[in-house]
Amino acid sequence: MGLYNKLMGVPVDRLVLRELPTVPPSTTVRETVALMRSKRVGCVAVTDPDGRAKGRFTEHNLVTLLVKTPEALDQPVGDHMTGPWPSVRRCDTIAHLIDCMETNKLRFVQVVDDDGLPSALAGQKGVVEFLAEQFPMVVKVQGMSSKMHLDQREGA
Amino acid sequence: MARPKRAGIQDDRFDDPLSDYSPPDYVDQMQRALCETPISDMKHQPFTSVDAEEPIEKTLARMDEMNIACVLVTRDGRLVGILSERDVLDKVADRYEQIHRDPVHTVMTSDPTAVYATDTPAKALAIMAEGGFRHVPILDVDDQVVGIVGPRRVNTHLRHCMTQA
Repeated sequence: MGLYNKLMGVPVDRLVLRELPTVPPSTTVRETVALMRSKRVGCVAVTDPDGRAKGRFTEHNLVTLLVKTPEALDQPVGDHMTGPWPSVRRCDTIAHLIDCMETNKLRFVQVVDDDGLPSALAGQKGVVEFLAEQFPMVVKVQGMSSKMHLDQREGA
Repeated sequence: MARPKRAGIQDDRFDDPLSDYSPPDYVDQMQRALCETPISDMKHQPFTSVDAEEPIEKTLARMDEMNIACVLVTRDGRLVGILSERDVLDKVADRYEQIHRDPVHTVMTSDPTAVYATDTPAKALAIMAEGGFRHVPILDVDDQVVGIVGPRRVNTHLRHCMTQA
């Protein structure tokens, strides 16, 4: 199967999905940031009492907050979130996920279950990892050093 | 006379990933585009660079104003680091009030892995996936920064490839 057909046919469920931490709107930004750091994710879902995502708080929201209102770190995250948040289902295709992120200018999309509750985090990183798997030879020979050249030439 | 085996080497086999020099077979045009076109064909500009001595608060204001996820950090025109939103989360957020006037090089990620403009998008994807980097700077032959690719630009490129396929 070609790469194009894979993107058009393989479901989101086949990507490496991240855990999606959730917080109630009353959680402080500082606590939310600590949660994002401990879970190694770039965003959290801010949920209503029913467990549905009212919005998201991302690393980008954090930068804006630090620049404009750094004292707001101790305010409720519900006052600084972005919403609403588009979602995809596990059975949707990767092409649909790419389309959703691109159309809405998003890096992360929530993956919801049959009841519409957030169950995982899908993002550009997962798509990139999926694509890299399609090029095993390129990945195998990849040098991970940041040095682009040798310090001294080899040979005479 | 057979060469004596060196101690510790149990097997003569060496699985050289570069041993097959025959041209690769691509199953579709999208794969070919990612493996054969130069990364400079992807959208890789504009990019934003700041001097390593610029204060953190000024750099963050620039990221916010320009709505970008990272800036390249240079010293005397040479790339020395990158400051991403993840660096802000990990190293800045908790002590912003104490360090906001410190130079950006104190919290940047030093010596980021880069690719050349003649490398392929597939190589940048491999670096992102294997190294866990979201953004990969692009250099010219003189090691000067000419652009940057990140996940959003990869997505845009893929979407373009899908409409062409």
